[in-house]
Amino acid sequence: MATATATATPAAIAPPPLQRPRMLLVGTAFAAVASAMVVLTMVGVYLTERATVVSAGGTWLPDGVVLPLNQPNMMFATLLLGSVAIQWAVSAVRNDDRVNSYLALGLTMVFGFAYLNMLVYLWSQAGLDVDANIQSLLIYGVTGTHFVMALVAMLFVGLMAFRALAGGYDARQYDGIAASALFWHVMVAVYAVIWIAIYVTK
Amino acid sequence: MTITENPPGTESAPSAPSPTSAPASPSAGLAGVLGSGDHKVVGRLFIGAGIVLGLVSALAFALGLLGGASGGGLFATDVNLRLFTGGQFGLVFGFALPVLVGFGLLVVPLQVGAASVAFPRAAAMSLWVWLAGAVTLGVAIAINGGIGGGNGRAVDLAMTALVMTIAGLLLASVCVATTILTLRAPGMTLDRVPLFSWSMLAATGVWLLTWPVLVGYLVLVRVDLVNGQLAFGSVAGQWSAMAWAFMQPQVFVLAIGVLGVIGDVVPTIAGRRQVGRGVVLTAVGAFAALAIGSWTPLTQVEGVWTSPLFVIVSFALVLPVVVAAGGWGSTLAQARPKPSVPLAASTAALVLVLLAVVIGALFAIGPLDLQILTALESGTPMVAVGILGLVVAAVAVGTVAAASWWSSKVAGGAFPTPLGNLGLLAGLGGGVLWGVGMLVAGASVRFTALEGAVDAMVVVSVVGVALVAASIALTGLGLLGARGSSDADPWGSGQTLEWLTDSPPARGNFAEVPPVLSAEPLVDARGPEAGESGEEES
Repeated sequence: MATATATATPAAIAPPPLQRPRMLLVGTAFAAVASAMVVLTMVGVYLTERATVVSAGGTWLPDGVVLPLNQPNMMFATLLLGSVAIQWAVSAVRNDDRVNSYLALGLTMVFGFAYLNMLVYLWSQAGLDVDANIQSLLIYGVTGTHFVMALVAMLFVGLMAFRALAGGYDARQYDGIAASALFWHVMVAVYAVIWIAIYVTK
Repeated sequence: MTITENPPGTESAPSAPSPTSAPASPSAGLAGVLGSGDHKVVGRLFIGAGIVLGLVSALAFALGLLGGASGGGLFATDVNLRLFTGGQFGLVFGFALPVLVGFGLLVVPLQVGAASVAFPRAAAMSLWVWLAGAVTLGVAIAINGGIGGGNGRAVDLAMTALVMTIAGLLLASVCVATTILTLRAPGMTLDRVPLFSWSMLAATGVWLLTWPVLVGYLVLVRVDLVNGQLAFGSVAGQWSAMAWAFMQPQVFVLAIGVLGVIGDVVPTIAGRRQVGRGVVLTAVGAFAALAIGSWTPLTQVEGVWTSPLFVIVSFALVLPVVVAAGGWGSTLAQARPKPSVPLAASTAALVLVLLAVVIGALFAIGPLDLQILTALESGTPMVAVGILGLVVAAVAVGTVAAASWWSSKVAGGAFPTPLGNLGLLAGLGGGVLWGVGMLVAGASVRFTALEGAVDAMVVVSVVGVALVAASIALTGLGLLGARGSSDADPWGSGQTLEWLTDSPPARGNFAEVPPVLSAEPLVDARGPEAGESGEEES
């Protein structure tokens, strides 16, 4: 009997849970696409109105309005550095490297603040009067909405940073950090479109 | 969304769902309802509030339409315009979308075998954001706000409220879509998802792509309104920035979920697996893709009607509806289904959708001159108003079908058959009168013999609006009057997982989810004799 017991088929081992798409990441992807569509709509309207004016032989930007390229370039570079930083945070948390993940999340926030600061400064220097003409209206509409999107991305990153500080994420479970990184990257991609459509094309 | 994230290790809840995995029981009574994050409670509140707002919106729309057509006899022109446009806001964002979202929140987790909706607290927040926005919008319009309103601050408030309304619906859409993509039961691949859930995945995807475009325009309107009123903030600019959302092809995004309801009712009533299921899934997906209309405003709404893309899309929209109808007809042809409210309402809803897409195709034929505008200074063609009416009526009748079909899950009892029959007849008749009345009025340019009948046809359409409102009201009464003990599967031939749950479902929904091996797991569980003589899955 003892021998029979010893050679009995061992109990079936429960199969590992199915690898399912991550809920927060998928939800964030939907939210990011919807947010991007709001800004991209305004960019579409901006380009349509611009094409109408230019095709009629006019110049798009009114006299006295200055849209320098240097500062938007720096803003773009800052956001890209933010992308690098948040991806560093994802990589760090995947490796259970908590110190580096905190550092990277903090850097991302700093880059975000720098972008917002530069955008506000650009508004003050550009000579745009929102109720003067449709150009100013659209530029404020597009950049202002992107300002809000960047703010939301920063809030998301900040919230995830607090959760990370509370020990909410590790190598096994880092959905929140990855989701905030996704939203950040989409925000930067939208800025890339704005950079080309407004600052480069003028 | 962040705060609703499941803790580590509970993401695969569907693999071992049980009542104990559900959130803790909420407070009892009114506080329990209003503070609930249970997807069933939130879904019921969406449906109930949508029905109430639908009635108010239909009344406003009917008054605006009637007043405008009779030369301003009832109200001043600006009041007509506010009622006409506000009624459209209400019918789309106060009734059609929220009712579909409500059924999505309630039924989709049950269909995919989930213990809850994804982000339950975000779903609850979406309800209150939407409701607050919709009520504020109504108040703003009532105090001389809305399109063409004379009270600048009220107009401003209306635009902000409309953004809130849409934001709430988009948040709920994220919850529904994420549920379908991430919380399906083991074995339920995307091609095995029940057709209603599939249609909601397609619908919410399209909503999340297109309604933010309207939000973008609303932001521009709002910014311009409080500043120079240079373009978008002027009275003409306000509506021309938004009118596309109520015209084809965008208006057809409201009908995607209706096709899903039909797709669940027909095979179950027939007791057969869906014939050509893959084709029907593709047809519904194609219909959703073709209904994307957010590209039209960038080409200027009036100019777009002659563009080749618009014409092609208008004709192409007919095809998926016909293909899906063929699939359902083939399924029904294999059986002798007993007459029932859900089946009759599904058939009526399909007829209305088909009529809408056919009239949409006629609208795109330039030589027919169907693009005559309404008497209102809104830039809306009469035929477009008719198409909107047919789609709203299809949603109303689809709601009759969904409410009677899932009443055991929604209300815990059987939907009263007389109310269901009356509701579907009122919705079908109302939709036909509303749509055909506007079509005839719109055809008066090309066919001059109809010129004298325009006002009469507008009155016919107003009667249609009233009938659609009656259909909405009857649905609400039917849900309130649902009585009787209800089995888990009162139809006895349920194919999908929602018929495995109690009626109404307990918290956590499922004690155990069987392995999903096909699109009809309950047919599999009953064995080959049950349902359909062992026919292979299509």
